[in-house]
Amino acid sequence: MDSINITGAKILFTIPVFGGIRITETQVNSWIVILGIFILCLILTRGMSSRGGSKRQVVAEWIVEQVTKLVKENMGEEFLPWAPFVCAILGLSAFSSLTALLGMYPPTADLNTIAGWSILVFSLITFYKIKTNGFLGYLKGYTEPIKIFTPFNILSELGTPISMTFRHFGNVVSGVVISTLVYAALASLSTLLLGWLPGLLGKIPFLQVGVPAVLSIYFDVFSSCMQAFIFAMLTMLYIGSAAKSE
Amino acid sequence: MSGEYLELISLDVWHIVASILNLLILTLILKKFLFKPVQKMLAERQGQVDQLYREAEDSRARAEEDKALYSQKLAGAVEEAEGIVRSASQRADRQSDEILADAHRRAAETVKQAEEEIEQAKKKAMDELKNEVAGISVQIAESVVGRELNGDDHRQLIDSFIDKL
Repeated sequence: MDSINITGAKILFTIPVFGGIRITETQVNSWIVILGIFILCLILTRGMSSRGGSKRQVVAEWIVEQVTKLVKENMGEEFLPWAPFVCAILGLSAFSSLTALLGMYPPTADLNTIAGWSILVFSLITFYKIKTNGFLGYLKGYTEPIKIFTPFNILSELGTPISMTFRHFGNVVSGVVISTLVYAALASLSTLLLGWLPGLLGKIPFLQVGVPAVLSIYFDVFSSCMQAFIFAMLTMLYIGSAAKSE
Repeated sequence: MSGEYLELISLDVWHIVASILNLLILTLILKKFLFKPVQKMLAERQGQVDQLYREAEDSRARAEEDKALYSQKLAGAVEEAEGIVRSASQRADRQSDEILADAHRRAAETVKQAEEEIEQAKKKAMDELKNEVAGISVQIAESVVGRELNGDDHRQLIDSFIDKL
């Protein structure tokens, strides 16, 4: 039986500056995803006309309208300029997770990716809180309802990005881990049950065909879209409520 | 574990920075290449729809105007026709009156003329008769008297005699 290794992203090479920047699969796959979305945008919006027509245009309009609607409903009219940001979160998260379907390493399985997003969202939340309440009002918000709550308030504030990070990361990684485990288990089971077959036939892990596909539909397709949606929703709700709070 | 892999859970500042930049870059890409073109197109479409509605409204207003104008004209035409008929019948009445009056006048004239003629003829006949009677009377008288009477001398006498008849 092979040993099961569950690791992070593969390090492809290291740029020897600032003490070595490691370029991993995460980076490369992220860029591939971004490039893919970029090309998709170009294809969808090509030859667009106000008289409507092509199916590509319908898809482009649908995406823009849905995201705009989502932002309007959850954040309010004045946040409409944030629609591309929300769309970027949705697209990057979903497509990053979906790269797993192509056998690539999903960038969302890398804690750093999600941590980056969460830190960005947390910065925006803080920015809007300060913008709405003023800096002193923002600081004062931590002492409410009574001063003794201050440590808990700080914890809960920090908890926001951390919980967002680990929710998303945990879901994707659990998918990867379970898929790997099931895959390995099926290989063992296959060897155990069909190992008696003569020659090469006994070495083919027949049971690996089919079953992982079902798991993949849940973990890679459903969960990917779900987590992207959840992350985007939380982003909108947190930023929206930060801007509205007294 | 081989050194070629990151740990399953590992944090690297550069990777976090790269992730933030990636998200920002994708935001810009989506904004510039998806949202801007689609929103521009949607605005254009909205503009066209608005224009179509405006044009439709204009057309309808014009149609209403035309309709009002036509019904007004139609009412005018009906009135005019009535006027024409009325004036024509009035004229006909007047003409018939004139013709009747003319006919009456002419008939009266004719009657008068006829009466005059009759009168004249009567007078003439009377004169002739008078002369004849006078002549005859003279002859009778001649034959009675046996001599010729001087007509001129006795004319007056005879006339007076006749007048006494």
